[in-house]
Amino acid sequence: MEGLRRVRKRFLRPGEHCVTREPMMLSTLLGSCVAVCLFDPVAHVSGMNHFLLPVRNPAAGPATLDSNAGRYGLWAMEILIDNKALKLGARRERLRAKAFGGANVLQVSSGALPERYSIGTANVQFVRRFLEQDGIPLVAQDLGGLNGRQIYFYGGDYSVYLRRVPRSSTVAIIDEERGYLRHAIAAKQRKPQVDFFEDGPGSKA
Amino acid sequence: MAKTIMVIDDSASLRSVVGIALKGAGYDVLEASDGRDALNKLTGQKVHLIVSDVNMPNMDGITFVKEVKKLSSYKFTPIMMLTTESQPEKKAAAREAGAKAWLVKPFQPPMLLDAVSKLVLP
Repeated sequence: MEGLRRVRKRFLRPGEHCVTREPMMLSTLLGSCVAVCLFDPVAHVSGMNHFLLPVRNPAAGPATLDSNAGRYGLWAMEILIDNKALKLGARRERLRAKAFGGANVLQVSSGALPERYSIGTANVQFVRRFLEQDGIPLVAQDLGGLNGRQIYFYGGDYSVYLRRVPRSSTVAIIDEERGYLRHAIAAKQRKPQVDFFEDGPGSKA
Repeated sequence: MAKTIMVIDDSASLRSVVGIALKGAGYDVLEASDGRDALNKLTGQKVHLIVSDVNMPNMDGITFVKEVKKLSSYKFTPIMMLTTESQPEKKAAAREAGAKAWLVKPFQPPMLLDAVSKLVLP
């Protein structure tokens, strides 16, 4: 326990991520958002993201990977995996994941619930589908449900300490994280530019 | 006859999503999981465009572009990089290697398809 006090710590806000070869303590607070803790135990690379799919209408059904929301989720996972973990020496086939979050304010039993009540479910479905399709084993999870979560991911042994947040506080967390993300998502979803490298059939866009 | 586009990405999810967009526009799609896998699959059939990720295991996207340019059958096949990478040095290296375009994820299908239509071989 004394040793843990000297471990570098970082708290992740919605839309943030951190990948490191140093055994850090990464923590975050989750309402509807999901956090994926990723690690390669051979390369000693570990990291975590914290994201929320920009689901416009969760009542319409699960966010498919090729929806706008799904593409945003793909981007969040690719930043964690391709741009960070693999660059630090992780190998895709050795990656393992632990996933947390995706709370709903109310039990989801009807497709007609307002967005804030079922967006957590959409996030959970996305994370499970992405990890399965990309062949990354989900070795631990605590997803969905009615409570928010505070999690601590230790890169020294890849363990996660989880504390459930009372439902009364979960509603506030969900409202706060969605407000927080509005700016981040808007920034990331600004129309990207195609750079054509020379004139020809596709002159500058 | 439908034109063929090769999609190279180490994420099966990403290949799937790009494939859905391209197939929906009437293209045939050939998938590869990294540069080396792609080279192994370029075995003589006509490929009208290659869409490649940059950061991949075994062979990264920029090395792949350099290798393709050495192949007489494919050296004129246009290559578009589709990546989360935004480092100017990487973009410059892709251009130097012979890539034709650079699109940063997350992509919107209309933009992807517009770029594809401008680059795809007749």
